[in-house]
Amino acid sequence: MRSFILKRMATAIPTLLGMSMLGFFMVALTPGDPVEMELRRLGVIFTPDQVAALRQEYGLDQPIFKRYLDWLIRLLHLDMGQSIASGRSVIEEFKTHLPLTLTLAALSLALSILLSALFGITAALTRSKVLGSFVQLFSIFMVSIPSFWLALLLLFIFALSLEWISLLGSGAWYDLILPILTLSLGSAATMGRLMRDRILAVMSEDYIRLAIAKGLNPALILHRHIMKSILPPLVTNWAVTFGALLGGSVIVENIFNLPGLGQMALQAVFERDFAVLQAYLLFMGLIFFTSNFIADLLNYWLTPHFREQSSPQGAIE
Amino acid sequence: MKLLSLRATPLGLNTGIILIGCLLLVAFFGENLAPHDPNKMDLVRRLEGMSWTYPLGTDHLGRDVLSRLMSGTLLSLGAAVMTAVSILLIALPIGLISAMFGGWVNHLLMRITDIFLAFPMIIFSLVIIGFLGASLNSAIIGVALAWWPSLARLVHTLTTDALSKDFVLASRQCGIGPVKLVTRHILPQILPPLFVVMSLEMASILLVLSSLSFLGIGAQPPEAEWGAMLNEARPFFTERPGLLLAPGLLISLAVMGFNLLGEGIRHKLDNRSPFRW
Amino acid sequence: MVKTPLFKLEHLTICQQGTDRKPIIDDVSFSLAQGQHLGLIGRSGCGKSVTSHAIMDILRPPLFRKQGRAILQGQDIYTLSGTEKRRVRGQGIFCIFQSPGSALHPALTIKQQMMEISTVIDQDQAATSDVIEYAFDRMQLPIRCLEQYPHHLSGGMKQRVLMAMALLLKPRFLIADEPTTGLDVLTERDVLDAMEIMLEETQSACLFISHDIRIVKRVCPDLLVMQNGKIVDRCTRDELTYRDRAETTREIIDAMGVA
Repeated sequence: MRSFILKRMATAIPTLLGMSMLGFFMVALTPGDPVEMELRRLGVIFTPDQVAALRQEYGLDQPIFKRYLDWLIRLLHLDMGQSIASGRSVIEEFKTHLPLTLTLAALSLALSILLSALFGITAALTRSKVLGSFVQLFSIFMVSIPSFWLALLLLFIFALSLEWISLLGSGAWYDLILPILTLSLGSAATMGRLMRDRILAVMSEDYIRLAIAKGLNPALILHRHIMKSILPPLVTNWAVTFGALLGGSVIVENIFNLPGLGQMALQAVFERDFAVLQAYLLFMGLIFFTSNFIADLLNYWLTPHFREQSSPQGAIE
Repeated sequence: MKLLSLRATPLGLNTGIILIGCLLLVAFFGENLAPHDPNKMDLVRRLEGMSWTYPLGTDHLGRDVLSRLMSGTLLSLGAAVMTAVSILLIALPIGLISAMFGGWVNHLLMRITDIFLAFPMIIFSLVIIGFLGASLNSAIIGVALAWWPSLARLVHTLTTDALSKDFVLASRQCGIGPVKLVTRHILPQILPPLFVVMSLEMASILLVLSSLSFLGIGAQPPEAEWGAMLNEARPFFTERPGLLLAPGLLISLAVMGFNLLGEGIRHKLDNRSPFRW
Repeated sequence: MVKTPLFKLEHLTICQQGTDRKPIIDDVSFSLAQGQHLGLIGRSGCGKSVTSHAIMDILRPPLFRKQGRAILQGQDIYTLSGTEKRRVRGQGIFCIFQSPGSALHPALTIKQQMMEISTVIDQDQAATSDVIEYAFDRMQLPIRCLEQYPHHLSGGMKQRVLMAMALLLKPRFLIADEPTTGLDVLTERDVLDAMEIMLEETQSACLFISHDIRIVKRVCPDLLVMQNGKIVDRCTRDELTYRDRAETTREIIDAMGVA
């Protein structure tokens, strides 16, 4: 296990470095001189000499590779610059906004997994045509409805028609119910479809035929033989879904007026707050990367037969 | 009962084809068929409900919603198609080259795709839009840049499979040139499955582009892009929620059309069936 | 052979859904007495395996049963409910499928796959454990295989694991569907030896399916010959040499260079 983790970490380093380069060069290569833009924003009248001086002060006259290294070192010290809009340090901004977004995405993931198992297993195993068709129809609707529209529909039902909640939110925990529902319904449908397809694919394998021939209980075949086979790809999918939910949080935070990272990033897009955007990209990338990493570890643990295949023992006969 | 099991039946495929067909018709002739000028404002008759003159009512500037939806079809679908084409233009060469050349070229290119894949897609698009400034063009570029890696991987896998076929090996041994190899043997093998995937991807691209427009960082008013129309209607949500109904429904139908089309074709290609107990 | 049949297959006809082509299995009938070993031979693709799947009632769509009855001890399997059918599978009829490579679950140890039979034969874990050890001994499988995954085992060993399962289940009727496909001659002999031990021990009736007449002759005194989904010949192994056999039978005999 330990050697696997170490090996996996070693392969992660180039990717992480690549990610940081992407983040850095995205800012560095953005058209427009950052110093001039900053001065214009402040409304300062400036001369070319002043610009050059400032460039020197910020180290912008250095070769780009040197600048990348300096930036990387500052990054490792968690110095990610300042938000132009708020004047606070980017790290401060993250500390305020990150918990909400993470909670939102994690709870949505949990609910999606639950719902998708419900959809997927029902759709794959039911012999009732009515139920099967209903599940399929429901899932295709859910996959096709944009999440922002679903959110608006939910708001229409629960805030405008039933008046159970306030449109503006109340600041209490139950403000999260509708956002979580919005995020999970869509991803649960996608995941449920994947689960159904996987179950059906596994059910056409020879070893399922043997399990049936043995006279095993269907419940045992499902939870033991089928789940054992479909879980690894599902775990990988959960990590991918987590990334999508982090992205989706931008939309629901906007609609439900939640002060999360997504709202902060959207604000940064409008205000062209590059430092915040860069940090947002790297942070979300890192979280997503970590979730994939955890999924890999889980899969390593779930597939003992692949684990040992790397050390070729072969047949004993 | 058959009516209900939409997916993976000929019915599902046909529904998809009809939906897409109708949308294409509206996209090409919508401007001419629209009952009103989509941009003509009539501030006296703003936020009206359904009527014979304005079948879907009017928006906050008194513009006819139906006409705007119809004339916006070309823009909405066109943006998605543009994005899909851009994605293919990046993904196809990279996937092909890495699979054909192998070795360090393959290694390098796949590493680069890995790096792009390490970011959540929407977030990557969002940040790129942030750097380019909010507009429909930025949204297309942002989505394409975030999307190409997964397609490049797919092209890579498909090409590797295609290359391992015996008849391809045989013609390689006969000394066929790389260009001929690609046009004669590789592309005919990888394009059909790629188009199925692209149809499903079109659905997701439409969703993302309209989401970005809805957030106000894609198409900008007064463009009649569906997502942008929803964005414009948002302040009037409490006053006239019906205004948000039609564009959202239209997006859903278009997305569903592409989903059904892709699923239908995929099911036609693969029909392994499970055991029953 | 005057014993009352243990199993009777009557007029089995299998078609493919959505095509008007002729049936894949066309009106096949045969019966087996208690403990009888019956061979079913025919060239690849003639419908032997489909017959075995059909008897277990685990056909994969688009194949479907158009007509037929499969009567085990006076009971038509096809008319049973799901739960009743499950009770027949395993201890009533068991099937050793071809390609043992994919027949065992790749992510479960051999022990896990053997132990789950305890739910079918209604014994507790300890008792099952003992029977498994006994079965492994009889099949000449080392006990350490139990902790391993299928990919650690050779083809012949996997096949013998399946036979050990049969030893546990003691089915009244066992179908062996090409159990020696893909094995070399020596392994083939080991597997057949194991199979004879197993059949002797379980006293099961056996339908032995193969394209290799030499193997079938060794195990079965009675033979059926199948061609294009039809039974074209029935005989005992001693009658095989007669020159008035059906054309297909002669072809198979000639091709094998036996008799």
